[in-house]
Amino acid sequence: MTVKTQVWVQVTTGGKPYPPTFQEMFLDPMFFGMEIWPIDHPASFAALLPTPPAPAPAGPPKVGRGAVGGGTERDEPPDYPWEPSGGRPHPGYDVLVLNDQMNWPETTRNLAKQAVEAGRGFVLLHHSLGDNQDWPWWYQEVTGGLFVLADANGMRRSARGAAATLDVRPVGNHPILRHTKPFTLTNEETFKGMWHSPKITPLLQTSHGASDTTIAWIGVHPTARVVCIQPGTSRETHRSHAYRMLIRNSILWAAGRL
Amino acid sequence: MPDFSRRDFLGSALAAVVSTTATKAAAFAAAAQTTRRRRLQVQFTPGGHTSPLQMYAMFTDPMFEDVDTFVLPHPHAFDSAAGGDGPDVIVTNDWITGQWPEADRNNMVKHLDAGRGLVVLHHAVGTNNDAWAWWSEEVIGCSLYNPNVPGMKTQARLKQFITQTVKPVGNHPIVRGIEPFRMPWDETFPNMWISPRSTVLFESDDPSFNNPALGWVGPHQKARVVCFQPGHTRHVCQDPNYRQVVHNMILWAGGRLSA
Repeated sequence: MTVKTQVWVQVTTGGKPYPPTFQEMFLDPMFFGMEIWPIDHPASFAALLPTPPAPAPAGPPKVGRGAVGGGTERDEPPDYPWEPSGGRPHPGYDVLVLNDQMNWPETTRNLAKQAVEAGRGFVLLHHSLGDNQDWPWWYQEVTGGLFVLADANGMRRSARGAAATLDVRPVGNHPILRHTKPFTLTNEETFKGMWHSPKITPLLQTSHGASDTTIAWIGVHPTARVVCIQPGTSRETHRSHAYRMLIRNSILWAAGRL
Repeated sequence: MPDFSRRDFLGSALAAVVSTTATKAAAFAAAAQTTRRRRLQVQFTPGGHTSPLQMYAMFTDPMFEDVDTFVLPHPHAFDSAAGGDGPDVIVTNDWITGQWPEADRNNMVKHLDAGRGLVVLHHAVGTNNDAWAWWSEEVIGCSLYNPNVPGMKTQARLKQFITQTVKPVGNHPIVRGIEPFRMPWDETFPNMWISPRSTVLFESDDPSFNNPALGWVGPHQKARVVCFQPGHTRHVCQDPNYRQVVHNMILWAGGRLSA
């Protein structure tokens, strides 16, 4: 049996534009030890679910040059690393990092709910705090926060502020904040008037007038490990060492490694 | 750490420093041509398939400083494409085997009719193949499988993970200054149908290809459409030669490389 030593991370975006520095961030050596794979919408969350042992292969894989017909042939050197679509048994993702903004279709919601109940990790960034406006279970029982896109269900529309300089301070002594000192984000979009559950655990706060005070928190689900981080829109933020360390620590905690 | 991770890390580091000399001259030439002009607005649209981080990070390579790229996956990826302030060039690497929703198709048609650019990478050569014949035949000039090849009636043939030599063909502005180069491990589609009205730019030396074309200009009459089949692995997406080809394709699609 193969021992999975690395943290496997699915990164999913969709529905909102962002700079490519977002994915570039995960190539920072501080993320060494993680297998991080983008799969953008339309995306499946099936690989977050526990999977039964794969059946033994029926025969040798089809290989060789000149073969015809559909399907996949493999002609790979022995040191070729694992690729998600390569057909090898998938080790499963431990953490889902989201930066999408949409109402997920029913099949996606079912998979997400199973992953939540299976205790998987979730790190929600910026745009994704507006996911699933019409699915209260998601924001009331899982994430504990919602960027409200339009007045509905007794909630007022949240405000999006222009790029600002945010002075950010850690709150409490959660493992994610270990070694985290106050830091500044020089060009970041602010959210104000988000709906927040009273059960969230704040991680980061700011005193900026155009922003909510709490801008990062631990979600409210009792089994899943959920971290929500409001900043994450600009190139400057994606390239901030402090921000990257926050994301790294959040992924490790969500995976049960902190 | 497991061994494969260490090897992969070393492979990534090596790939970043190998084969840069031949591409630098072409990069400088292209950059000089675009100096002092508004940066091209480029939309990169992935989706529906796993893709390496290096595909996205390609657009942060200093080689791409003369284009301003944002990422916009589905849904509603092309909502702004039809307007006057839409992107100059759309780069796709999505994998939608049926077809895009009608609104996306309509917006893309407007983008193309406006004479803007489209660069189709790897997974996206198979997008819309199954249900939008006009797209395959009149726009991108290819399909993931050629029904005239025995056994290729309903599904593609994928071959993983070969290395191949990529050879430029003809004297199109996109291939100008690019020498034949060895491409790292990649997934290939050896039995594609390539329209006879497509203009081939690059060929593979892999003997199992039904048609050796790896890159080509599509047949659309108004828009500048160009396709490049490689782009699956992290090794290819961080290869300087691969990035040079994609950069040239974007510049040409945006009207920044003259004949």
